[in-house]
Amino acid sequence: MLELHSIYKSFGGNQVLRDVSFALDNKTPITGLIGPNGSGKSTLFHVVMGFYSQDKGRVLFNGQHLDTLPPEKRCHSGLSCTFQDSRMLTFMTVLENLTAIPTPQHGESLVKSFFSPLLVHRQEKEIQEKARDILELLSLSSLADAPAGSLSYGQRKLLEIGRVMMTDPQLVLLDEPTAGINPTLIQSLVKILETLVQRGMRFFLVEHNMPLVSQLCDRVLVLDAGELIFDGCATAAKKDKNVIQAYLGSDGYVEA
Amino acid sequence: MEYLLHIGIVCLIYILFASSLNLELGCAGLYNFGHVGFFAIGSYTTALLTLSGYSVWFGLLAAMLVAGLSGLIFSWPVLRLTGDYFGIASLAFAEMVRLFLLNERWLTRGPMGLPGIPRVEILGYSGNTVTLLTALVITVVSLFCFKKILTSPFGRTLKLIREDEHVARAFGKDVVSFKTRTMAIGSAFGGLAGGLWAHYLGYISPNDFSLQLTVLVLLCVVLGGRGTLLGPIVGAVLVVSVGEGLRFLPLPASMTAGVAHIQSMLFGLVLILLMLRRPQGIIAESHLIQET
Repeated sequence: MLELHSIYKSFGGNQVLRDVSFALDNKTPITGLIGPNGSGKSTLFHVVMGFYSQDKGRVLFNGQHLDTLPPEKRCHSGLSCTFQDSRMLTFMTVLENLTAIPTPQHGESLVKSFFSPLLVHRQEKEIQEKARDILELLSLSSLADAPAGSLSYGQRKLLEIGRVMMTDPQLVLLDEPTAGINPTLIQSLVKILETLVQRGMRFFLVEHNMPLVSQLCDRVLVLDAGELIFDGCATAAKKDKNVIQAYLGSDGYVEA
Repeated sequence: MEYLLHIGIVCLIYILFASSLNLELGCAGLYNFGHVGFFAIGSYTTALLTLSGYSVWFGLLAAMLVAGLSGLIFSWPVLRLTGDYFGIASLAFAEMVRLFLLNERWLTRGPMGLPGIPRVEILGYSGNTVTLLTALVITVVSLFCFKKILTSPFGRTLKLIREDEHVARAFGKDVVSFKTRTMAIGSAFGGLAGGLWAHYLGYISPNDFSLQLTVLVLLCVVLGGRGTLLGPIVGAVLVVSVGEGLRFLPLPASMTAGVAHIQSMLFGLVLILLMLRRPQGIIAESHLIQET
């Protein structure tokens, strides 16, 4: 599904990614990407989504080269993402945060807005229905008309997942979805992810919460100082010397 | 009575002008400090055409088209700039337009301006009442168009882009295309306001389109409330009526010439206070909630 071939990325003299290569297949529902702070995880996500262009290497999705495509075009190929810092559209309602997402919409053409109102209305109704279904799944229905700025941090994280669901992507890059949210909400999030996996969605997850990574991910990739140092199952990752050293130093211990 | 008609006409033109800027600044987050350039393009287009014998209606339509096309051409390279850089480029554009109008005498008569611009005429009548009615109809129809745009998925996507361009791009929105279309529409209606202005005053010169007018229309939008339909209407009515009201201040004879300066200082002060105390303006967007 997603293939990265020998990706290099630097900012000035700081080499953030070095020779990173791996492939994600459709058979693994959730793949984890872990690594110490500053190891290049978010940069890697930004390279895949097209917000940063790599210095060297190739990114392919379903066999299609993404290298020259801007982020807005990559989204159409079935990729989507959430952001590390929850990026809410605070001046819009919770429902609008979802209905604004699908692309293209008939109503985004001014000609159609003025001269084909029925066509626009019909599609708008479908989008609204889909958005309300998603809010139901996220247990946010009662807040549909509330301003997104009034949501708690955890609810915002859920809404971000909702935004992603509006595009029906094949692969979602989740950047620390559980950072700063309480254990109850984390379990709700886990259930939602499991539901989405059953619907055929695949996830590539950056996370620091190791127990959660062990619970969700069949496969784990570990980045350290921009290099891929481990690729295997979560249990093996916890025992791997390189991983332990990267996280906690030479005599470290990773909590299960 | 004539004075009240004058205030009414100026209010309507300012409402149209401010609403067109609101589409760019309030809805799409485009800090266009050069909107007056498109107002000037509209004014000169209709003035030159009507002085050459074309009808006022054709002139106004052409003012819209030429200003809209200028907005499109301007935004093509400039919209790749963001934030402050876009603001500076737009300011430079307005100054370029003013200098063009000032220096290309073969076309615009330069600083001498264009006198004798025909007034709006309906069934042989051409007084201030006719101008007021025409401005009213054009402004109401334009406001209807703005409402349609603001409440359409197009308007919703503009808000999305204004809120977070990064998110908009991640979800497949062609940000440059949306901004370009917004600039073209905003400029077209700005040009239409300029056209009405020219036909009302009957005389225009390049210095009418200075930075002061930009600040005034910006104040209308910011004071009234960005991103709302009602905001620029309230803002324009307040700015025009307060500006006119200052004329009646019981100032000593030696200071009457300074009314314009007092007006500028007052508006500047209002703008600073607004930014500090109520940045959302008088009419706040219904979902205006600050990040908690």
